[in-house]
Formats: sequence, structure tokens, C-alpha cells
Amino acid sequence: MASVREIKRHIKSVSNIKKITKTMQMVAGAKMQKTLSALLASRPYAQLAWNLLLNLAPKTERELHPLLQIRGIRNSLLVVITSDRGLCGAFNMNVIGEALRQIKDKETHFLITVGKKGRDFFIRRGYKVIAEFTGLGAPAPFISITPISQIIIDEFIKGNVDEVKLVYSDYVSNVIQRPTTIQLLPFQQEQPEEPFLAQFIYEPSPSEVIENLLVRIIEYKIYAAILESQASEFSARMMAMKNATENAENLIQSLILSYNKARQEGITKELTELSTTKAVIESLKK
Amino acid sequence: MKFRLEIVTPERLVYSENVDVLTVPTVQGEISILARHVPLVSIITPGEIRIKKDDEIEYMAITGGFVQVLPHKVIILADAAERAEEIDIERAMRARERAQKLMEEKRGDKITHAEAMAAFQRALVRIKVGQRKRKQK
Repeated sequence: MASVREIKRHIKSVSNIKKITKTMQMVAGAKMQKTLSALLASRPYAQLAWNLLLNLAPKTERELHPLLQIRGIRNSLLVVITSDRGLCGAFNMNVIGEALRQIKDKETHFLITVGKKGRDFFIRRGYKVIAEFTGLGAPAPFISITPISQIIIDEFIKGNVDEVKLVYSDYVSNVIQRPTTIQLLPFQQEQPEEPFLAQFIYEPSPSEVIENLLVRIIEYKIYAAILESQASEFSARMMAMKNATENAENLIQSLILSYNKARQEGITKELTELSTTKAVIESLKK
Repeated sequence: MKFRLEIVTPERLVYSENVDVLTVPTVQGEISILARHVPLVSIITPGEIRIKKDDEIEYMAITGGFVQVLPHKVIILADAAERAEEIDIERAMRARERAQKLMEEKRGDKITHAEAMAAFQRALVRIKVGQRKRKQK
């Protein structure tokens, strides 16, 4: 049985931990809200850019655009989006697991990692990581995406890779974050949904507009994936910290119980000693 | 006669109002758009957007993007756009200095040089637009 003082110290340290986890839970919650509203604010752009692309698509030939080219797949590039920090439950391992399922052959699959956790995992195991990005901030500003998309587009146009996929955690709800893989390049072209109304003049030319637009849409897709991933990260952390806070609370309760027990035992022991002594003295007097 | 103008960036909706005249810098030179302009799509270069609404003129800094003229509205898909009053001139000045230094140091390195050049241009535009607002005050 631990001494009263030891138990007291233990209670104190656990309540300190509880304070920290509680704070982390609230910070993660606030950041998640911020990230979600950034995600929401980015939707109109995506919608408009996509409409413009669909309008343009019938006017150009797929073969003319390096970003639309479909080649036989020899080498693939995976962009794996994880978090910089831990303490968010199984969040990172879920994404890494999804990436590992996609990688059939270490030799033909190249990686770009976003976030420290993914980087550390894949570099330690000798995967071909061609670039790594960390510390984008939360929510990540759009401008931080440009270098990532630059490398991806360069590698694809040079022919070093024949397809590019994004692996990230899709934010479904507070409790559900689903590891997801989407294809980024070659560009998946869809048929325009609504018939085209106006006949546009394109300056300088349709193909130059499409060239620029494709780059923006690719950037946007990466941006959206990173925001989704960050929202997932924060909600995973929020849940993890909530559990930790609850566990700490339970632990404190049981510690308080044994503290009281130990204290009472002490008192009982002292009382017994006192009354025994008294009885002995009295018997001696007689 | 007015038309609807919407300016969106990947981060937010920057502007959405009915305006009289829009002037944007495009790859083929600066163009002004009035209501009933012919449908057009053009690429925007970094520069200054001028919006005339009633008797007021508003200035914005834009770092590039697309302008799409539809029959009843005009959409600008900007990489980044800032209203004059949002611009932090001190920050823009520091950015200009940084970019200038980088350009001098990395003369040999083509990619970094080009990036620094682009950053320099962006800073210049922001300073120009930001200062306009100051003059008006």
C-alpha cells in the first residue's frame, strides 16, 4: 500500500496531465473549426474553375496537353499527406496504411510526403521519397501549395512518373476520418453536365487558357486534400485528447478513493495504538 | 448599366457586387469591361484591378488568374486578390527587399531567380495598390 503522501503526489501529477489534455482538446477543436471554414470558403473557386474547364474541354485535343496525356504506367508518384505532430490516435497510421496498400513495388513508386510523420516513416524504411514538406501551418495557406504542385507537374511532364495520386485522410465527420486515394494526374476528364450557353472568345487561345487552368485545378486539389487532412487531424486529436482527459478523470477518482482509504487506515491504526496503550497503562495501575 | 462582378480565390470570396466598369491586366494588355461585353475568357497577369461603381473607384492587387465574362456576370478566378485597404504596406515593402536580395544572390540559379522575380513583382503591385488607398485618405 502506497503511503498517503505518495498518493497525494500522484493525484497532483495526474490532474496536471488532465489540464494539459483538456487544453489540447480545446485547441484542436478551435483549429478544426478554422480549417473547416477555410475548406468551405474554397468551394466556390473549385466550382467555378471546374465549370470553366468543362466548357473548355471540347475545344481542345487531349494529345496536345502534357498534363492530359495518358501513358502506359511504369512509374507512379504518391503524395502522402500526414501530420507534423502526434497525439492524434491512429490518424497517421491509417493514412500510411492506405499508402502502403497503394505501393505495389518500392522501385516504381515514388513518394512526396507532406508532414513529419509520413516522412519519418517512409524514409526510415527506404522508400523513394523525392520531396518532403513540413510546417505548412494550419490551415495551410494556398501559397504554400505552389512548390508542391510545381514538383508534381515537373515530374509528370518530364515523364519520370506516369500517374500521380494523392493519399490523405478525408474528413467525413468529427468521429469519422476516412483514408482516401484520389488520382491527380493524368487528369480525369468528365463530360460537361449542362450544355454550353455562350460562345467564348479565348485570349490568347483556348489551349493556353486550359494549360494555366489545369495547373490551378491541380493546385486546388492538393490544397483541398491538405485542408481535409488537417481537419481530420484536428478532430482525431480532439477525440484522442477527450479520451485522455476522461481516463485521467477516472484515474483521479480511483486515486482519491485509495487516498481516503489510506488516510482512514492511518487514523484507525493510531486510534488502536492509543487505546491499546491506554488499556496497558490502566492495567498496570491496578 | 451595371453588371455583377465576383472575385474568388481558393481561400475565399473576395468581392461580389454590381459594378459599372472593370479594368483588368491580361496577358494581351489591360482591358476594360462594361455591361454586355462579349463572352470572353482571358488570363490575368499580376497587377492592379480597378473597379468603378457609381462614382467610386476601388483598387485591388491581383497576382494572376482568369477573367471569365458571362452574359450576365463577370467572374474573376484569382490566385490571390487583396483590396487596397487590406494591404499591409510595411509587409509588402519587406517582401520586396527580401525578393530583391534573393534575386541578386541567386543570379546563377534560374528557378530560384525566377521565383524571386515573381515575388518581387507581386510585392511591387501590392505596394502600388496599397499606396493608392493612402493617397485617397
